[in-house]
Amino acid sequence: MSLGVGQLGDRGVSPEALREPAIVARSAQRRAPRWLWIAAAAVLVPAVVPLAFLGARVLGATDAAWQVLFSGRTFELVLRSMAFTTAVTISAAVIGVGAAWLTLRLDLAWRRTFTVLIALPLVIPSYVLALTFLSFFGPRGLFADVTGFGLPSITGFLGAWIVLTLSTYPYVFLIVRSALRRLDPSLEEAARGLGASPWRTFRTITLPQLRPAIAAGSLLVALYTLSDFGAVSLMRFDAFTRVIYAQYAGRIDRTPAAVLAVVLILIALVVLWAEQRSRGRAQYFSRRPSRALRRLVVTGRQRVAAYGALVTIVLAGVGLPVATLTAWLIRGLARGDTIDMRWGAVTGSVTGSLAAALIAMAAAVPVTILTVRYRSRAAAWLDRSVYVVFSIPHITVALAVVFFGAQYLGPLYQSFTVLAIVYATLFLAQATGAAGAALLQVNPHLEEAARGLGRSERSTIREITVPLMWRGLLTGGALVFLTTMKELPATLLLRPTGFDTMAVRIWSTANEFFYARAAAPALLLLAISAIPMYLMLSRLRDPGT
Amino acid sequence: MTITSDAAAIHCHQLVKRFGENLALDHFELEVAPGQILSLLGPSGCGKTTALRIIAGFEDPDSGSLAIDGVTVVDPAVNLPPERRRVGMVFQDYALFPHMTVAGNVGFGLQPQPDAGRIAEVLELVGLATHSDRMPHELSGGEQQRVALARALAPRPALILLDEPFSNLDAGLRDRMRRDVRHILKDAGTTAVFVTHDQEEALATSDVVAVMREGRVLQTDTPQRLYRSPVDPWVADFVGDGEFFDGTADIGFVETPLGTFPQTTTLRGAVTVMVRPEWIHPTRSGGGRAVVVDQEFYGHDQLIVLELPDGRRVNSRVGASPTFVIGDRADVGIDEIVVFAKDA
Repeated sequence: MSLGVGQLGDRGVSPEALREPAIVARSAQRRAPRWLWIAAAAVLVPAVVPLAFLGARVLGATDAAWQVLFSGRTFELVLRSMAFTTAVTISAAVIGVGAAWLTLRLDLAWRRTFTVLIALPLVIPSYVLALTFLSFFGPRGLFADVTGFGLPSITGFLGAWIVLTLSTYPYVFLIVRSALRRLDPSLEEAARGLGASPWRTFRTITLPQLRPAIAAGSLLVALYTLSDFGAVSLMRFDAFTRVIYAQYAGRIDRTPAAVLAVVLILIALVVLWAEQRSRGRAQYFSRRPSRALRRLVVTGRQRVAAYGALVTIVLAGVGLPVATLTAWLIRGLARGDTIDMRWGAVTGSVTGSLAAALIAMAAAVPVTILTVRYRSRAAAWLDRSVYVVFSIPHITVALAVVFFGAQYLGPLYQSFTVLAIVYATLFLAQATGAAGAALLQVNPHLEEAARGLGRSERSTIREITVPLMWRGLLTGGALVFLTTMKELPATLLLRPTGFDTMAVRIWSTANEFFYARAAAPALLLLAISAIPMYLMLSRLRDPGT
Repeated sequence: MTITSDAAAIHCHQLVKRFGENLALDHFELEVAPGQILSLLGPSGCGKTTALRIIAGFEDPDSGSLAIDGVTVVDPAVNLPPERRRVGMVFQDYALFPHMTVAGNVGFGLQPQPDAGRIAEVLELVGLATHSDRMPHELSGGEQQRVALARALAPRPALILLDEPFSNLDAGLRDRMRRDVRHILKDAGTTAVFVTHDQEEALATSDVVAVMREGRVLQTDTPQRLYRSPVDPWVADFVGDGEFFDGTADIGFVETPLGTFPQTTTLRGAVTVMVRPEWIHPTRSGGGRAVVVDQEFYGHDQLIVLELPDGRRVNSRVGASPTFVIGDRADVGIDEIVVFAKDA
């Protein structure tokens, strides 16, 4: 799961919005047309109906299934998952905030290069990262092979913690970075003028203002960590998702899996609720600074330490995985292995991700217009539901679709269509987030002008609204594409017979310890994912957005 | 649809609109005759923009009815969407479509086919015939304003609404655009309503001014009558400068600190008397009752501050020629006065 650059951070009401009630608060006091509601509600059906079904199934479960819920093992699982999620969230927040501050506020060289490299782990699936860490460390790992010196292996809690931290800190980095850019430099200057040291200024002035951004980034980290399946499985760490999958795959009675899935949903909802509460009390400072901030000049040991920190992050998050994959690929080829590239997996990944991106873009239009332009209570609930679906671990949504589909969907069940729709529903929040941010920047008077010139609501959306929010929609589509490329658990559960993706290929070969065979699809996956990532970063650089 | 008997271009009847606790329109009444330019004048937050947006159909009133060109567009049974009201709107920020050329913007409301002849005709009317292929961001503020007006005029609407149309222009351009927009609207023969908080703009641009306060129309009149015969002290103060005095009225006359003047109202007893600065004429005289205590010279005229025998200071606006020096004594002549009931 990944959400766009700073969209969550931008969702609060800005002081400008409060100051210009004529444009913002008064827009579209008319009621939304019914067809728009029908379109938006239809978008959530693929997620909500199966989840409701899952809930009903759990409520009607047998006593044996309920015993799963109240067993000491489940309690232990909940505690372990919470501790694990907390640990990852804290370390990802520290790295993300630190890297954002270092690249933005110090006068270091190659700042732009560092920024791109530090954001890059966003496109590396966590199970690929886990795979490369497993094969790099250990007494018989790549490092031992090359140097003859065996490093201890990294598995279990420690391994999963390191890998998920490296996979998720970019969320905090990107959101905090964009918030840091919007801070008014005169506040920090005032603090310095009053005699505060740089450290005290950061702690007492800068950090509190970044709180909403840090909370938004940490939310994504926590939700990702809760729902991660590939990395924890490869690391043999018994997180919730791994246990659910084991219950699902190994049993005839799948109800215990459903019970655990519902518990996981509840934990995700608690995380979401906690972040919403922290946001409610936070104050937003999104005023565009009147002038550029002055970077701090650091010299000597401090400068070396700053470079050291950034290089370490880049080496661990990007250098190690790419180098390891390349090394395995070269060795495999030298040994005479065929690359065993299944082109079906490549086309499967690309068509699946493309279909998901297109469906999500189409679905984002009615949802975004309702939530941004018609600020009714129902529209707020719609917006919230999109985020709730996003925050629910995929494995549980997929499980719900399995239960529901097997019973009601007949031949559609385990078809490409259902899979693509489920992808789009899971990641819809990314598309609506990016599209919503774009629509907020479109003056509502433009749409009113079109209505006043005799155009219907539908014609106005087609000719004015959509063309003007197009860039945001495209960014959202790119994000959905990127995320679907990496998606593993829903694909494993829902893919039709004969349908293969690179993610599935990597996961299955790695599970059988054929690391060399996993290297080719993994590198290809990174290469393909770099395209939407490039689109996103080029949007990042644009100061107007 | 019902056809109302009167021939008004707009008829707002008892419109009420609430935003939460705030009553934006409080039984709002307005009538505009065909071809007339009316301005809605009031301080910010008085509901004038809300009234405009309800007429355009961007907001729904809580109650009341609205007819445009004799056709009811809003009442308890009817609510025409904006695109069916034949109302052109010119926004404060112009709201030009940034992804379309000038011609694309102007032709947007011409359906089903954008008629090139009509586009050229309205661009000619606003003096931008050579700009049809430009993009909005390539135009100056005044040009964008004209395009917005051309776009609104192109489909020959029954009515043009303008929301603070001149507030984004700098002072010099604003005066010229006011005159130009007035001529363009008159040439097109369109009924127009515009919203402003600037009394000078309202008086200079419109045939009729409706003064609003707290969601109600207090007075609808020609600029001249509004200025010379405001209905209450608040309107008097809002549409121009004024000096207010306590006075005592009786049949045919009123006593004030400035002297005793004839009056024609039926008011008796304690009243408020208002005099505009240009109605006060000081003449230098050694035995005058007032003293010149300050002056501001503007070139085309000047402001003389006079201290009356009771210590009260009043402003007087006189032509540029009379020369006063601070300390001069003067007699004070009054051209006319307005008498209000106390606590009106």
